[in-house]
Amino acid sequence: MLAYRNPRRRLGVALAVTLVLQLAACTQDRLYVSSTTVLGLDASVNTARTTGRVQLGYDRYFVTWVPQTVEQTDGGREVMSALNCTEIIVSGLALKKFDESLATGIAATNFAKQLNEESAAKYFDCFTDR
Amino acid sequence: MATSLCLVSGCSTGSGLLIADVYRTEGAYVVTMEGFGVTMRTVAEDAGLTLGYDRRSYVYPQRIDDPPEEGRHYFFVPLPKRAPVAVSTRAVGMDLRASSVEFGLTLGYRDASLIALVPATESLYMRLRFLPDDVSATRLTYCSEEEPCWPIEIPDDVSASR
Repeated sequence: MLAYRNPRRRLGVALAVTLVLQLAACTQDRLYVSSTTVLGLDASVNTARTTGRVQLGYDRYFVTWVPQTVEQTDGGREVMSALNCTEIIVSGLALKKFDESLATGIAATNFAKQLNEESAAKYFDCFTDR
Repeated sequence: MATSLCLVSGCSTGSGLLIADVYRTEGAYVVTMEGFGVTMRTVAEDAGLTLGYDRRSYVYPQRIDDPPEEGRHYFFVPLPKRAPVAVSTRAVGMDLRASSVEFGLTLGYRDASLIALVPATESLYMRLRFLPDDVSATRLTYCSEEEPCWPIEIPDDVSASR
């Protein structure tokens, strides 16, 4: 009870609960593209790859994470299908623009089969100049 | 009180000054927050604590059950329950992260973006154009297989295996 009389401890408890909830919510079954620029001291662990890094100074890195397999409705697992075009513009230390076209699952499979047709290729800019 | 609300429903709050703007753009809701002082976030994809200055933007599809309230918010901003499709962050100071994507600590400057954050099990098409410094120009097309939307027509091929 004493903890709740102290605002600092209350914040600490709230933060601890949040961290525990996040740890419990860790998932590796999402696709993402990321861009990171850091200047200073940075330490991080990627929950999907379970890899860590510590660095001092400047760094910029890009990551595309595609889960190797995804769970199917029948309980089995299958290789994930993804089709995407990513355009990123960075100036100085900040990201200025990103433009992403993405299809996943059966939609990705179907788009990929019909990329030679203008009706499908127009949704993915990086394929239109072929 | 705000902290308790935050823990129950996804949001951003802090003991410093938090200014949030919610924009309805072409196909998206964009929530942009600027925090000065201590800012706490409970959104799973961007949970953590910042001491200093931070600017964060979350992009949500326009077709959601609990859209954020447009306009300006101070100190506390409730966020939709579903995960954002993109997260853009810029922090100066101490940035502690405990999200579902990454755990980390930065002392200094950090600019990061998570784009196309979608469940691996979904079949969908998404097109997102996002300028962190001009979020009102955001354009998003988000079409899942269960919710086909104009003008996107995901090519149909019944012979394709799942």
